[in-house]
Amino acid sequence: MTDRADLDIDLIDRYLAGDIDAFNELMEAHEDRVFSICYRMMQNREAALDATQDTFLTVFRKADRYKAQAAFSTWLYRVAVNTCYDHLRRQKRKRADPLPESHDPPDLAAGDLYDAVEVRPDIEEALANLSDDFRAAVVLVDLQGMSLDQASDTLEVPTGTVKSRLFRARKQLARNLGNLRPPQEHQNGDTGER
Amino acid sequence: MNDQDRDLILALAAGQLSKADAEAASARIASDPELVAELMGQELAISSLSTVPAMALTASERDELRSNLIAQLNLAATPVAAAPAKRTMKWWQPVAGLAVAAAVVAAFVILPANLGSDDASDAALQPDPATAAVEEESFTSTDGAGGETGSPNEATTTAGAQSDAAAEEQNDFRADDVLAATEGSDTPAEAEDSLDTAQMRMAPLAPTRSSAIEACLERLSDELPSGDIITLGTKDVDGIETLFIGIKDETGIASVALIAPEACQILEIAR
Repeated sequence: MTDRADLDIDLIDRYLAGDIDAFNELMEAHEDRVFSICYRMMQNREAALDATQDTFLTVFRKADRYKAQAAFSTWLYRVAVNTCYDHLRRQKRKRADPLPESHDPPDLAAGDLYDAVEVRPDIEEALANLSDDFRAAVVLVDLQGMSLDQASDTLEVPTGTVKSRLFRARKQLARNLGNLRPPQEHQNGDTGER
Repeated sequence: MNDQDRDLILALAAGQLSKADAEAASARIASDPELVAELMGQELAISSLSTVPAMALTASERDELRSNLIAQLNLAATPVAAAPAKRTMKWWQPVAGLAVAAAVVAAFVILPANLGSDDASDAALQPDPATAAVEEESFTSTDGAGGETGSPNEATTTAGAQSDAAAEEQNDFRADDVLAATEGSDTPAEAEDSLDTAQMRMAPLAPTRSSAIEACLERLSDELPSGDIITLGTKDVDGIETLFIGIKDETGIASVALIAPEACQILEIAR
């Protein structure tokens, strides 16, 4: 185990013993990364904040069941990805529900302040078009810098499955990016199927 | 393209090969236009993704997140201001309040009436003024039971109404509440006891519907966590009939799903 992993185990023990400082230290160490994973999975800041909160709620409620066989961070990120899957499933169900008759049309002029600053439309759109499983592989490996084995542990699928998802996800991303780019860039950088 | 070629491209695109291996891989890939296209696609995706900025919480989001967690986890107060928890009333609070009110009512009303009107007994039963004052104070200051009511009978009525409301609120539970109550239960009886203790009331599943539910759960099996299923009961949630199921791992119930059986849809999963 790494120093970070050992420290996390110690912090979990202290948290279970009622040490509030341990809670704050665990949050300090992991909240941004969990939020980052949730943001890229959910593609929306508000939804990412909800998923981040639910992730930590689950983890702290079940902290007594954490067994130090895997790194705490692996368990935490696994919970984060699963929480995002659940929230995405709920979102899809809501979208499938008919809108109430009194529903006001969305105010298209009122954009999300954060999104306006942070979004790169081509990449964001290409990421959003990936299936949830493909996006999770890309988020963990390409955006969070996890190794294939770490991603495999986090997603609870074999490494071969991660490789396959990652390869196909990137291929789809490249194709989408090629299609989304302006024509001259398209001609120079198109790597779609020939 | 086979898995070996795919792995070669993945490793080459990620820059994970030694110089010699990378040269050999490049030569292999250059011999096949399909592999060249695949490699370029991977490289384009990786380079585009490398420009995606890392996300971080703002200071206010960080504070709000921690405050909410502290409140919902019932942690001790910290320098971070605590926000109200989702459910502020514990299940036992209305019950305890009602019990206190009932005890006071018994002391003031029921016992004297049953003991008759013998003067000596009456005198013995007259509360000491100091004791009465203490009892009156405790009566009127019992949260959720007596409130600021003037008489024990009035208080009993108010306490009853409030406890009904509290019980209704208590019965407004979702998958995460049921998981918190039943987590670790290994058998249906154990889960039922846990739900009783937490005062979460559900209707049992009608035996005539069990085969339809079984078929629905089979259809949903890919989306549900893997493990043995314990049917916990049915309940109206947001106006639709829902079914709560617990899913076991080696430690007992480890997740709870809320399902709309009519539409055969998963509404929530708490893990």
